[in-house]
Amino acid sequence: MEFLVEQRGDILRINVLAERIDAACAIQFKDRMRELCGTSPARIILDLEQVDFLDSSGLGAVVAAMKFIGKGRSLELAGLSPKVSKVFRLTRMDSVFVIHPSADIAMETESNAA
Amino acid sequence: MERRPPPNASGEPDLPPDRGRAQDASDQDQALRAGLRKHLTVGIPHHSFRERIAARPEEVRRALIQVVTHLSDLHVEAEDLAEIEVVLAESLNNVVEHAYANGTENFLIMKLDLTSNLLICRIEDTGTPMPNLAPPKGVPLDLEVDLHDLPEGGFGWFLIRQLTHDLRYDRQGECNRLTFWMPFRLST
Repeated sequence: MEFLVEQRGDILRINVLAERIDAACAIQFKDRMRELCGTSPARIILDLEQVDFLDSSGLGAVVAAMKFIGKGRSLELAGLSPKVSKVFRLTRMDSVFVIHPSADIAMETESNAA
Repeated sequence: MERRPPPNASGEPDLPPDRGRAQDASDQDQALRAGLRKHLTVGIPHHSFRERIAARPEEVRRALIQVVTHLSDLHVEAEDLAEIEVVLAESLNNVVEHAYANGTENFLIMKLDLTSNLLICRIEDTGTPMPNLAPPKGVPLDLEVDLHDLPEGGFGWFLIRQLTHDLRYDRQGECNRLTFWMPFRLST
């Protein structure tokens, strides 16, 4: 599972280069996020633009990532596909995460979650 | 999209054909078919898919991609297809993770019947039965909690329950069978 990571100022942008975050890769996603976010800045933007599909295992993995990132930092989401967006909406997880239309917009937005 | 005339003389859309001998049609099947009649409108001609899937997450993913491609080719509308993909993913992964939790070389069968505007799904496996011989309730999860208490699981059955109709489970001999149906629209 490939990620593209870019740090700009106090923002870490993580671009998930996979089409699916599903049961087949949820554990790998969680482990890689843990490595990438180890000593990250306060704000992490997870760019899901390349991700077409996310199931409940993938959703659980994103929640797990937010939990280990902890209260001192924030995990924000960006670029959700219609399918991914639907899963967040149906489970009401869209009320738990800060969700931006795109990572570029998120980078220009002041953090309001941390 | 071409609107085809109703396929039978009575003007009613076709239900999927009964398979096998009459005595094989279980109560579950009959109830499903009876419940479906009032929801049918004229849509696409009948299509059936049957997939035998090795009980591994990678194989479930492969089967899902294949089925979604088929349904997309049949012009199932994108938003409805998204719901179908989520439900199938959750149902199939549930079998892999729970019914076959301890197994290695297991298979499950997914049968899809598309009739008019309905997708009828049957998923069969020979793994352990569902607890209390019933699908989990899938209640909404409490999200008004501290960060560290947020749920990381339990979304699957909630999604299935929200998006399907007539969800039924039965156990016959060594076989688990989950059935449900979902309506869909065609893209224009």
